[in-house]
Amino acid sequence: MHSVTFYPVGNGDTSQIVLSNGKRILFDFRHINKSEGDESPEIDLKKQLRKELDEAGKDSFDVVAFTHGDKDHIENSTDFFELQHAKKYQGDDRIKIKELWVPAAMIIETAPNDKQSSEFVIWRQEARHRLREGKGIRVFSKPDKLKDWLKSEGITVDDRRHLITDAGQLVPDFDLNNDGVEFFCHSPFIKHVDGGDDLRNEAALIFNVRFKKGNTIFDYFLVGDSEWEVLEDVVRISKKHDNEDRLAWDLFYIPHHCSYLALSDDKGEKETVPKELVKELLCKGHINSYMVSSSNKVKSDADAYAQTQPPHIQAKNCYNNYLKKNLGADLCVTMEEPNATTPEPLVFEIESNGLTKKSAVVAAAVSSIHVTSNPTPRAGAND
Amino acid sequence: MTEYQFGERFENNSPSHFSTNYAKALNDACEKRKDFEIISIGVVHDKYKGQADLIIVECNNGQVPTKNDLGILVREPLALCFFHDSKFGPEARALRKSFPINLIHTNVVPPGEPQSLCIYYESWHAAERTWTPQKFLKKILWWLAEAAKGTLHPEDQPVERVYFNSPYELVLPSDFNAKIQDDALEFLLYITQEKKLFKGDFVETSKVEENKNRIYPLYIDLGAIVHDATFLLPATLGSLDDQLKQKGHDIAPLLQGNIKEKVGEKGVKEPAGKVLLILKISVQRHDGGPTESEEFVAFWITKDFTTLGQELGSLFRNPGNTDGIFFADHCNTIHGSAWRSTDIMPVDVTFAVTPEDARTFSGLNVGYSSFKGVIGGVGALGATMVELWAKGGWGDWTLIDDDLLRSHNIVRHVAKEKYVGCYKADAVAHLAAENFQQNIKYFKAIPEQLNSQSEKVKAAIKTADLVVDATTTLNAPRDLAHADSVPRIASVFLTPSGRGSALLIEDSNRDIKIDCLEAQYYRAILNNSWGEKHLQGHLGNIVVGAGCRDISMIMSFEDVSLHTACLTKQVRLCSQTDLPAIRVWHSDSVTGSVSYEQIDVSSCFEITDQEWRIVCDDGLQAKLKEKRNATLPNETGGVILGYIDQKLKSIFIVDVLDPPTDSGSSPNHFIRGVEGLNDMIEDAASRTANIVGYIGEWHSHPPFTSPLPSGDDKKLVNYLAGALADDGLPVLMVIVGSDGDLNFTVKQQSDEWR
Repeated sequence: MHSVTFYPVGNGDTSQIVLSNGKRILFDFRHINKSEGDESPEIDLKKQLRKELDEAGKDSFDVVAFTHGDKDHIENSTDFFELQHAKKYQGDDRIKIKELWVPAAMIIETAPNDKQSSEFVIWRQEARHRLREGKGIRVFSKPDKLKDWLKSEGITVDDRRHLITDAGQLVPDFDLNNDGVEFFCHSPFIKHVDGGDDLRNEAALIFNVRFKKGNTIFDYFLVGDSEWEVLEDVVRISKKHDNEDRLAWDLFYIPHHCSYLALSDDKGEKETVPKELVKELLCKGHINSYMVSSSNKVKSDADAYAQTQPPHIQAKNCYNNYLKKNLGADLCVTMEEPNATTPEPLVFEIESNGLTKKSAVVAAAVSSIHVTSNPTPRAGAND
Repeated sequence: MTEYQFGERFENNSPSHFSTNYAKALNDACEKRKDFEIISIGVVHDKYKGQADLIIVECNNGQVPTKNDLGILVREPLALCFFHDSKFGPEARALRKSFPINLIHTNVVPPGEPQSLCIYYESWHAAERTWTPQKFLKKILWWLAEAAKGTLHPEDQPVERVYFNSPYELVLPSDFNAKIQDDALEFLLYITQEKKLFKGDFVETSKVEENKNRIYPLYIDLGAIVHDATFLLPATLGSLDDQLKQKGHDIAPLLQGNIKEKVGEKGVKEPAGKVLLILKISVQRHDGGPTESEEFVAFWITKDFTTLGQELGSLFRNPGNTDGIFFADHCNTIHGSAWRSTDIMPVDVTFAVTPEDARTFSGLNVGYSSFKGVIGGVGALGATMVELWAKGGWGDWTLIDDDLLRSHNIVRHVAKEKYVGCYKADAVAHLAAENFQQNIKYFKAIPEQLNSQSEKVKAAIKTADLVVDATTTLNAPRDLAHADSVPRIASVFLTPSGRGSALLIEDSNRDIKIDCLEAQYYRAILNNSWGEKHLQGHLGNIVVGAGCRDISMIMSFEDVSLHTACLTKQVRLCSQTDLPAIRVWHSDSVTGSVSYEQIDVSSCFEITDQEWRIVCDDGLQAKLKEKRNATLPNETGGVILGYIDQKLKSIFIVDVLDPPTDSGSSPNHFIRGVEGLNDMIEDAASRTANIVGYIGEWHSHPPFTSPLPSGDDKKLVNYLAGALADDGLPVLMVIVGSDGDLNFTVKQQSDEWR
C-alpha cells in the first residue's frame, strides 16, 4: 500500500508520500510554533513527523522537496532537519535528508527582497553546498543563471547534469515497476526561472506523480503555489510534446491554498470561471477522483466572497463544479478534516482497487470505543 | 448520471413534512454530518408497505476504493425511506440507474425500482431495539465500502440462494427427483389452508381424472449457475428468461421440449389445467467449481397449458377440428412475444421432512390444575412445553404465535408433517387437544404476536394467572413488563447451543419485574465461570432469525427435549411459590448430566432522568458501596456495563467494573484508566450475545460530601455525552456517596427524537 498524507498546517503546505517499499518523500514543511500548545487548531508538525518516523523506525526522509522558498513552505524547518553545510545545524536528533529536491530558483535567487527570509537563505546555502559536493540533491531546470553559478564555482554543467531534471523528464531516482511510483516534472520551465527575480511562484515545482499498485495506475497532480498562466503553459506544453496523459488525475492538489489566481485573473462574483486551458486540466479528473486544498477552512458567508486572501470561496465553487462534472469523489480542505475544530492529517491509502480516505473512525465500530480507549477527564468531589 | 425518479419531492426541505420520528431524527443526524448531504425530501408509496417518508441524500464515502471493479462511486445518491407503518424498517435505495445490479445482499424490489441495500443482519422488529439514525448511516457507509471491496460476503459463509424467499412455498415430496421421471406417475398439487403454501404429491397416472383441477408440472434441470447477486423475483416469463440468459441459459427451447413430451402422441384437450414450472439449479461459488448447493425454485404460470404451448409453438390444433385436442408441433415456431408477457408467480420450494421415529418423553405424574395460562411462542420450546403440560393435564392454556409451521420446523417441533402450512398456534393447540377426548377446550390458539396490541391478545393476558414467554427474543417480556393488567410473567429460553436453558420468573406480587430480572441474569453471566460459554454459538444476537446472512443453527430435538422437560417442570414448581427466581441449567452432551446454577435475585428500583428510565437493583447498589468503602479515603470508579432499549427509552444497568490498574485517584479526584478495559468490555459483549456493553462511568465521592455531580463531574458527563453522540446514544454517570447513596445522571447530546 502506498499513501499520500496532507497535514493541516493552515494556509501553508506539507504533504508526504510513503511508498509500500517504505521510502518517504516529504513535500514542503510548515511548522507553526503556537501549534505546540492547545490553543491552535493546526497540527504540531514536528511532533507528528517525529512520531511517524519513530513508528517506522527511521531517522531520515528519503527525499525532502521544497516546491519553492516561500515562508509557508519552509517555516521552522531549519531547526528540524539536519543540514550538511554547517556544524550548528547538526546533531540533537535532527532529522536527516537523504536527497533534497529544489527548483533552480532556490539556488540562484539572490535578490535581497523581503521574501528572502533568513530560513530561505539557510536552505539556499544548504542546496548550494550539496550541489557543490555533487550529492544528496536534485535541482529542477537548468536556466542560464544556474549555469553561470556553476561556472562561478568552477564546476561544469556536464559534471552535475545527472543531478538536474528538466521539465518534461522523469526523475531518475524512482521507477514505476520497482518503487511503484514515478515523478514526471511539469515545471519549472527555463523561461520562468530566467524571467526575473520575483517569479518564485511561477518557478515552483509541479509534478505528475504516477503510482502503480497491482496493475492499477493512479495519477496525482502535485503542485505548489502556482498561477493560471503557469498551468496554461503546463497544459500547452504537455499537449505539444504528446504528454497529455500526464495531465490526468485521480488526486489533484489545489494550488496556492485555493486561490482564484490559479484559475483566472478574475475572481468572479459567485464562482471563478477558469481560463480555457486550466478548464481542460480540471476536466482531466477521473471518476471518483479527489481534490485537496491545503488551506484554512473555506468560509461561505457574505464576507468570504469579499475576502482578499485565499482560500477563495469562488475558487472552491469552481473546483466543486468540475469535481461533480467528473463524477468525482470529494474536495477535502486540510483544516476541515475530519472537522474544523481538531483537524488531523488527511491520509489517502492506495491499493489496487483504488484510493480510500483513511479514517480514524471505523464505520462498524461503536463510538464508546473512543471513550474506553482513553482515560476519562478528571471527576470527583473537588469542586 | 441518470437517476431513478423515485417518489415525489416536496418544494422545500422542511422536516415538518415528515410523518415518522425516524425520518425527523435521520434528517437531524444528516445535518450534523459531512458524509450525508440532504438533497431533497418527499414521499413514496410502496405497493406492499404503504406510504413512506423519503430523504434523498448524497452519500460521500471516503472508504469506497476509487477504482473498485464494481463501479460503486464515492458519492452515491441514495433514497432513505421511512415507512409510516412501523412494522417495516427503514430502507436505503441506490438511486443511480447504473448502480451495479449484481451485488449480493440486496433486498427484493419490483422491476424498474432502485436497488435496496440489505443493511440488517436481523429482522426489523429485533433491529429497532438498538436502532439510532447515526448507526443506520454508519451501516450504510459500511455496506457500500465492503461491497466495493468485495468483502461483504466472506469466503467461509454459505453461498447465496439464487432466488430470494418468495411469499409462496411449494412443498415437494422427499422423493420428487426420482418420481418426476416416472411416466406411470402424475404430479398433483394441493393448496393448504393459508393459500401461501402448496403441497405436491404423485399419484398413478391411471387414477388421475382428466381435466379436473389438473396441474401440469414442467420440470427443467438448468445445471450450474455461479453465485453472485440474488436474483429479483421475476414477474413474467420474459423477465425470467432475461435473468437466465444472463447466466447463459435459454429457457424457451427447454419449455418447448418439456411441453411436447408431456403431450405425447395422444394430444391434450383444452382447457388442460394450469402450469407449475419447477427449476433445479446447481449453485457454484466460482465458475467451474464444485456444486455447493442444489436449489429448486418454482413459478406458478397463470395460463392454461394449451395456451402457453400454442404461444411457444409447441402445440397446434388441426384447422377445422372442433374437439379441442392439441398435438405436439415439431416446427417450434414461436408465435410473437405473447409467451414472454405471461404472468408468473414465484414459489419457494422446500421438501417434506421424513417423519422422525423417536421422540422421548418422561411423563409427568401430575393432576389437573384449573389455573389459566398464556404461552407466547410455540416453536420448538413452547410447543413441547404445551405438549408436556397437556400430557400432565396441567393448566388451561391460550397459545399465542403468528408463525406458520414450515417443513423444516418438524425436526425440532412436536407438530407432524400434516400440519405444515398451518399456524403453529393452531397446530400445537390441536395436537395438545388430541391428547384428550375430542372437542376439549383447554387449548385455544391466537395466531398473533405476544406483544401485539390486538384486543384478543390483551383479553387473554388480562384473564390469565401466568404468562409464559417462550419466544426467541426478550422483546415481548420487556414490552409486557410495564403494560396494564398483566399477570405474573415467566421467561424461558434455550441457549444458542441447545445445551443450556434459563428461566426468569417474577414474584407473585410482581414487585420485581421481568425486565429487571433480565439485567440480573446478564450480571450472573458476567460474574460466573459458567457464563463464559453459556451463550456460546450466538450469531451476534440472541435471535434465531431468518435474516439473509443467517446461517441455519444446528440443535437436536434431543437437546431441546432435555431442557424443555426441565424448564416445564421448573415453571410449574416456581409458579406455585411466591418468590422470584433466575435459574440456569447446562447439560453435558457426553455424560448426559445437567447442572444447575443458583442466582440470587435482588430487589429492583427505577429512576427517571431526562425522560430516560434507569433500571437498577439493590445487588448492584451494594456492590458499588462495597467498592467505595474498600478504597476510602480515596475515590474510586470505573465503567458501567448495561444496555439501552431505544423503543422503551430505558437504560438497564447490568454491572460495574473495577478501576483499571492505571487509574488515578486521591481523596478528591478520580481518573479512570484504560489498562485491560476494552478486553473486559469485549468479554462482556461476547458472553451476552452483544447485548451488554459500555453505557457510562461511575465513581465515588469521599465521606461528608454530596453524591451530587461536582463541576468536574459535569464536565466529565458532557465529554462522555459528546463522545457517544456519534452513535446517538445517551451516557449514564453514577456517583456513589456516603452509605451507598447513588446519584444518577443521564446526558444525551443529540436532539430528542422519539
